[in-house]
Amino acid sequence: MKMKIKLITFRTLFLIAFCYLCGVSCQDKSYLDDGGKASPQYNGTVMQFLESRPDLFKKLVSVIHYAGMENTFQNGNITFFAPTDYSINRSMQKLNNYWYNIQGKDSVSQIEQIKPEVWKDLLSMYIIPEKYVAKDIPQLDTVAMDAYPGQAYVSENGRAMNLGVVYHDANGVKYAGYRQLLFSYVNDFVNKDLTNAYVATSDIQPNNGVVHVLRFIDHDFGFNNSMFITKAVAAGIEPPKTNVNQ
Amino acid sequence: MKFQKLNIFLGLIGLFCVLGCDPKIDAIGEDPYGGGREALGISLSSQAPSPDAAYPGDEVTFKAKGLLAWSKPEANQYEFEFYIANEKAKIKSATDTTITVIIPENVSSGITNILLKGQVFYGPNFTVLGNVKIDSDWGIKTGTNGPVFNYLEHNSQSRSYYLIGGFYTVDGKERSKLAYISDRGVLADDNSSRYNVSRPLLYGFTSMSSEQTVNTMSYFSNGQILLSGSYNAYVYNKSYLELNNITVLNNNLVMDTMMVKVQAWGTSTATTKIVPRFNGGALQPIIRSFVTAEGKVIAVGNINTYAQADYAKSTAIENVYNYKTVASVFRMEKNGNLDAGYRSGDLAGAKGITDAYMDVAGGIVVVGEFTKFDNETANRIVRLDMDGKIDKAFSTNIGSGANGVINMVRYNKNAHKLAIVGSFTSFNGKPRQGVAVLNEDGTLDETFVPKEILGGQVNFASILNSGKVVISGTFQKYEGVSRPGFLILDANGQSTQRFNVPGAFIGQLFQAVETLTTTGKNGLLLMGNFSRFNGQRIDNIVMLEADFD
Repeated sequence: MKMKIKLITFRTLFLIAFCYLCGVSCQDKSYLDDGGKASPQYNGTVMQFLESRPDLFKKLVSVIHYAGMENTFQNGNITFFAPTDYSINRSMQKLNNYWYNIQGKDSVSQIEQIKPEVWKDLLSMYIIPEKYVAKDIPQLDTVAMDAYPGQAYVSENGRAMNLGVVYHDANGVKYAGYRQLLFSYVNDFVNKDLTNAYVATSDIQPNNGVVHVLRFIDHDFGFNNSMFITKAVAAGIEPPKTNVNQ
Repeated sequence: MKFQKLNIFLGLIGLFCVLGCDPKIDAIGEDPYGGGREALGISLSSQAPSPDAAYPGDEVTFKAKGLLAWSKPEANQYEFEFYIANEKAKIKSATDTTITVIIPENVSSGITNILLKGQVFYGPNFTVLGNVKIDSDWGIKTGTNGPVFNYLEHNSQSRSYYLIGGFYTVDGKERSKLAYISDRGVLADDNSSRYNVSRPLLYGFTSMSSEQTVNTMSYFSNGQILLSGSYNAYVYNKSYLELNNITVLNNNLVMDTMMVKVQAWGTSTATTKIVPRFNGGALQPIIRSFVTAEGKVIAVGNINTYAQADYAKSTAIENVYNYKTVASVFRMEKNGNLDAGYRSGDLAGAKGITDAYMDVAGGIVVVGEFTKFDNETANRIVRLDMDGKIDKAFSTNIGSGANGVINMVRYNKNAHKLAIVGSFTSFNGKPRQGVAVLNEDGTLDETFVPKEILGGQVNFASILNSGKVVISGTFQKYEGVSRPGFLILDANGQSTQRFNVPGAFIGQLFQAVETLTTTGKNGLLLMGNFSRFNGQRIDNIVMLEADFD
């Protein structure tokens, strides 16, 4: 009997302790915070943001300097769809393939071999005046453009570029899933002929605007390789500079 | 009893758990997609306007939505602007659902749009009427799948053309780098009497075949055809005979061949084989070739080695070649032997040759990146006379020449003029923004003065018999007016509205041939490496109807 009472008491104590632990542990609310909300704000200019990520934008930053566009990125109030170095490299390689393999000329590997005005012309297509974060931009459905065309905005280049937010489906429910920004070069709006670039990271907000980083796996700088090549070649390809470290 | 206890304990656990949690924590935050900017609520309908095509100065009404929120039509005040092919059109009147505009005096066909607060609202494509349009009855509809570099008008079928280039298909039908079209643009069968070859050049996408292209084709006086480019085999009897970038074909495009004696080799007992009758060529690609008045062959390119097969030393499966050094331009006899009388002596030629033509006097004009030719100063253009030596009088007329690369030259023997394009900005000291017209003697044509070119470069120019100049390129504006990529200029460089109504052109032209359309009107057959003409998808070849009166 004595043994039995002891056993019950022990079990009771254990359960009380367990309940107490449940109660106490629930007081800690930190588990409700997931990774936390990353701050979209960046304390600096668009230019400084790009310079802070040399893993993605080293070449882009040199292109901006070479094209003389620092002022726009330092002081302008802009929405910038940032092409990564992978996109720039891919277009450079295709230019080199044309220039070296097909035309039989000296190879093109340095951004300085292409005229600065060509870089400026193409890069200014990626800049929209004023700040537009994802929620400011209308819906776009690439297979129902008549209903959801997104919206075209005039870029710094003077050319209108199409912006839209693609509403993905979730569990078979149309438009209920995540939303993704789509930045497009308009070949011919009437025939719904757009060259698309998906945004991988949106709404990065430095002090003077917003940066949407373009997905690098399938975007070529200049949207259209033949246009990049034609413009670069027509403006003239400079011989490589030997003292530049690449 | 035991059950009761257990239930009480479980109940307590549940109670503690519930009490322990704070119900005041927001599990769901605010809608991350909410709170964006309001849309402007305006749109331009894609429905055809009324009328759906018009001349400059005409009024056209488009359907739209939400215009009144941004305008006061009674006061003639509009916050938005209306554009046709990037040219601003005057707004005559508007209701909430329609807008009437006046077609500008200088405008090309193209897409319409409303511009409001930096946002663009697209409408339909609008056709500006004028004297130039696509000949929709012409046989080839979709074009070729690779560039068309050049053509040859048939010597007995006028306005029927051989097309040559880097394509594999014409209108979806298999044609390997060579095709024949009638005067109505109908593609000939591959067993036609004028086109008696099925796959003239190696077909397919192997690395060897895909880089093979042909770019020059010309007639000998006996009807045989000279074909040159960058290729190393031509079809004969279902197999391919080896050659070096140039060969001679019979009038039906079948290779002109001969039987030669060769060495026996290994187990092979064959001591003869069939080879091209024209035994000569170059190790480097031939940019242009010409048949001279005496029936000889001149080849131009960045060439330093002439090659000729020595069949007496060759075997049935392998040719042995003899090589000779040549300097950029060389001449061969009709049988392919190197003509030692042409460009004799130790000459240097030039590096970076891009193009050449033969003028009516039999001289060869060569253009490119070079600043010296045969070690004499020649700023990107030089003329060689009948014996291949530099024409000093032409060099004097050129003066300081082009201050940048000349990429292309097109010669009109009827007009006795040539057009050059490139990355130069002046010619013989006179400003010329990438395009210039010269007289046959090398002097600059002072009447053709190109106007301001913006948004890109000119990469093609060709002079028509009437003196008009067709230009195309990556440019977007000419003389302040949106003219995307294609223009027919007057002889003085002016762009007259009625000849310049086509919409956006994207690509590179190589040829603009004056001919007749399917209805017998003046036609202009364009060939090149392009994907769009008049904003429409057309690949590499298109026939225009052009009324130049």
